[in-house]
Amino acid sequence: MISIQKEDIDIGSLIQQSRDIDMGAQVVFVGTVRDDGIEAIEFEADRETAIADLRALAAEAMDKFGLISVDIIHRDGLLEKGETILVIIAGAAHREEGFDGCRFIIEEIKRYVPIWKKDITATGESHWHD
Amino acid sequence: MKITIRSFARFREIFGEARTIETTGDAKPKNVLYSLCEDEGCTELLFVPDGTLHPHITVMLNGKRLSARETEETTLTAGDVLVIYPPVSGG
Repeated sequence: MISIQKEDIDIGSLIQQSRDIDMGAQVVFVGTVRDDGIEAIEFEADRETAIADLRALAAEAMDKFGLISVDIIHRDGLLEKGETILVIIAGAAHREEGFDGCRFIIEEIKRYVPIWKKDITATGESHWHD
Repeated sequence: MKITIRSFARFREIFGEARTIETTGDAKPKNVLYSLCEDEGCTELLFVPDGTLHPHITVMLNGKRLSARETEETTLTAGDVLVIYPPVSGG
């Protein structure tokens, strides 16, 4: 599944849905909103391009690392401390491919997929991440 | 001729979500963006001092990412949509 959504992510259900008997490993990355003295983070995406990029990235990771499946769900909108931002599940025959593929995907998301985040402080001030 | 410029996040707050502008028939993306920045008084936002586009800026034309060279050489046509992305920070 590839998605950008406002709704929270049911990680357990996603893991079950992506599981396959050919897999010996499912590597799961969960990005969350860390308490950096902020109140919340607002995410904005160019959804059309970001979804296309995530699909292409999943296909590239499957090809490059021999992954059996890739799921990427990224949230947008206003997220409070502790909330889930992103879930990546890399399903592989062996753990090495899963770890390598999952790491590749998160680094590539941060490198070029058009999603931005803005910190919101308790006083209402905000600033975009570069 | 008219083209549309769209932007997101920090750039959206400066340039607006979308604006239609009038350009000449041989306009290139880089020149159009430079004029846009001059109008807003913020050339340093997209350009480094030597006048080249900042490397962390992404420019798209009709849904396709342009290289720095393509922003200087591609001729725009009526109805084109240019998109400018600030540095991304998802994940």
